[in-house]
Amino acid sequence: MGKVVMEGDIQDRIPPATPVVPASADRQSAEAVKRLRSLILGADYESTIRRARDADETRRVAEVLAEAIRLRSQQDKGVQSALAPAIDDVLDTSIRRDPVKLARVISPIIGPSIRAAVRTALADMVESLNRILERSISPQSWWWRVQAWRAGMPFGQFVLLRTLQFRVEQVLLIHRDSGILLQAETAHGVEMRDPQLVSAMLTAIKDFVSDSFRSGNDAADLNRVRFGDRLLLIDVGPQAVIAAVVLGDPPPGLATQLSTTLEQFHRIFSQPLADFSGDRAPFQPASGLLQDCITEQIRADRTPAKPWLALSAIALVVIVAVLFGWRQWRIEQQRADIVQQLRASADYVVLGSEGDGRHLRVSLLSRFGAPSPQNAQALAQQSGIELELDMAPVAMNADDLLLPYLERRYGLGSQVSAQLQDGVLRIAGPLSAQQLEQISADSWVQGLVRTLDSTQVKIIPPPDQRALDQQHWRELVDTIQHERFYFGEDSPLLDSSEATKAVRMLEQLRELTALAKKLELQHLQILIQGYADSTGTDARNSRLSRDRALELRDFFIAHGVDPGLLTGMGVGSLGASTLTAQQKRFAMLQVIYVMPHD
Amino acid sequence: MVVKKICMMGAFAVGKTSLVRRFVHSIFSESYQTTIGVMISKKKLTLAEQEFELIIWDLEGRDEFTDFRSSYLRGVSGVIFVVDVTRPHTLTVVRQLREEVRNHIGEIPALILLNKADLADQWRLDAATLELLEDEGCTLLHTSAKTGANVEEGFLALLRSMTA
Repeated sequence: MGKVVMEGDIQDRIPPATPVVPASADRQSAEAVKRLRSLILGADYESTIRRARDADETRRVAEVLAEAIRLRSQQDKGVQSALAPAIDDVLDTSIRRDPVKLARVISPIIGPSIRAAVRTALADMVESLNRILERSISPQSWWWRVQAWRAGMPFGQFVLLRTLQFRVEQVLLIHRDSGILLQAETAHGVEMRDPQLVSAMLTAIKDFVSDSFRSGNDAADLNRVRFGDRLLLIDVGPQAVIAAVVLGDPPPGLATQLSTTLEQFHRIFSQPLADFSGDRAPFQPASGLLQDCITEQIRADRTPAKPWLALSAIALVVIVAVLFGWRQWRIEQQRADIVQQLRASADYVVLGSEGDGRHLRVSLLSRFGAPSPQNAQALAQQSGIELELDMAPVAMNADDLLLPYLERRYGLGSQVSAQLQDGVLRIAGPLSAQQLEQISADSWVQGLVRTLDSTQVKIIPPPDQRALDQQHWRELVDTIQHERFYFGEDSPLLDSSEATKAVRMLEQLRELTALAKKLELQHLQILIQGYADSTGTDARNSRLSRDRALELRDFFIAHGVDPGLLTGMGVGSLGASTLTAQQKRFAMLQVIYVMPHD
Repeated sequence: MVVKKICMMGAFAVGKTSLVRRFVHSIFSESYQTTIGVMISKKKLTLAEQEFELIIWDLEGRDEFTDFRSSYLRGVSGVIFVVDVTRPHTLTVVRQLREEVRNHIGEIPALILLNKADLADQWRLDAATLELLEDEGCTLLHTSAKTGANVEEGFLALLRSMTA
């Protein structure tokens, strides 16, 4: 059977979920009815009825919800208490998810307030600065300092007393019967002793005075107490008392303002006052009322004027800043001029400069033999700048380069001197004829030197050819013996890069054999030694190292080297060594020969 | 935070001020008691996760030379009467004070502290009078300002009855 689909008022058409069974009916009858209903209406009957009832209940609650909330709110705070945590959570979640939305909503509200607060703060700052300056540097202020010193009080307090007409330092709102403090505000910078105790004590004193000096039914209250420079103004309302601590002499309007504030307080907070049982929370909004009473007035001893002193101070600061900036700019310019002077000289190349105040450090290349940069140094001295030159002499033109070139190219030695002056190259000392001839024929010399003066040259015989060949032999042997052919791990084969080295070696071996023949060397033998790394057994390493030597030997033989010259042997593992495993897998050549005596 | 005003009352030298000194955080100069007849102090307490601040008006000791300043009782939420267990007369004074408080402000939560309980060997109170007070619904608590016994409990007991 399919699902039962119902529309409209289900309750009217469907029998109730719980069948009405007569009291006399037995359990079997009830079960039978239940089974019969299930057969006729299907298995979904019960759940459908439940859903229909839930929907009906929801509609019913929706109709009365608003009215129910309104009624309960009139009775107590139950609805607010119940909804507060949920609303808190919702707000918290919403703000976390999209803070921009909240910012967009509140920005029109708080924007003007922020701008107004900034404007006020700036105006207060200028006014405050002006007052400080007036009190700090005027002749009157010095006289006041003397008076404050004589009176034994801080200068600030003395100034306050002399300049202040009045200042409301504290305002307290006190519950009239219990003396419990309902709300309090203090002026900026005023420290308030425990206001709750002060309120209670004030109430006690007020009651004491009222009780003590009452005449008949006259229920007069204490409303003004003078103590030192301060005045305590008290105004008593039906349920609350307002008290203000005033420094100086307040105008009559202040008492009126306190009375008005107290009246407003009673009007706004009449219900919380009637219900008061010690909970001060409902009176927190009264803070704004009290803030309005925190006022002060400076003694008007002259007509209000523009704060010229503050403006002058600001202008002075600006002028000093401009002068300082100009001076810094001027020093920068002077440093730049010195560097520019050095750059303009052909004898110097400026690599970089760094300056700090009147100190300048320049790194530069100077031409060999160049004069000191007197112009730049004079400019630095004139500007009062300490100049530090970090110079490195270098060759900057062909003349500078020619002499080192000749020395290096022709191996002139320490006994030979060369000088180039006005196009004349003067060489002196021992030179071979061949060297002199080569120098004269050098294209660079021909290009730069007009005359070659070799009158001081002492011609020496050319070196012995055999000695040259022997020297070349030794260099060649040294080159061959320093070459290493590396192998892969556990491999006796040369890879492509090492084979390239082996090809180069072929040339050197051919030159070696030719030179050996020329020098008539005896017992020439080339021993190829193979090595292995430390992994594996000694027997295995010995075999591998020998295979590497033979591989190289076979390569040389295959490329035409006389097999009789080549011998391969395996040395095995190098053992303990600072070489890496890769560096230990190699083969090298050793040249064995006997040089005949001359 | 909820603020409650309570008064400490009793005969002269029963130990009211000593009890307060044992209990409170901050106190005004005690010289006020001799000038305007009251010394005020305060104490913060927490009861059932609610913070309370008790403003304790410690009224000067009652004797035949001093008048009762009823104005100090205005707005009071509870009263602690203090009796010196070594001086039976102090119990009589408390009974008179209790009656006067009733006359001025009606029935309010109250507690009678039987102070100087540490001097048990000098106990002089009449047991029948105490029973009578208990029968009248008064809560009695033995305290000692000297040892601190039951001092905090006494104030808490009064706070409980004020908030019940």
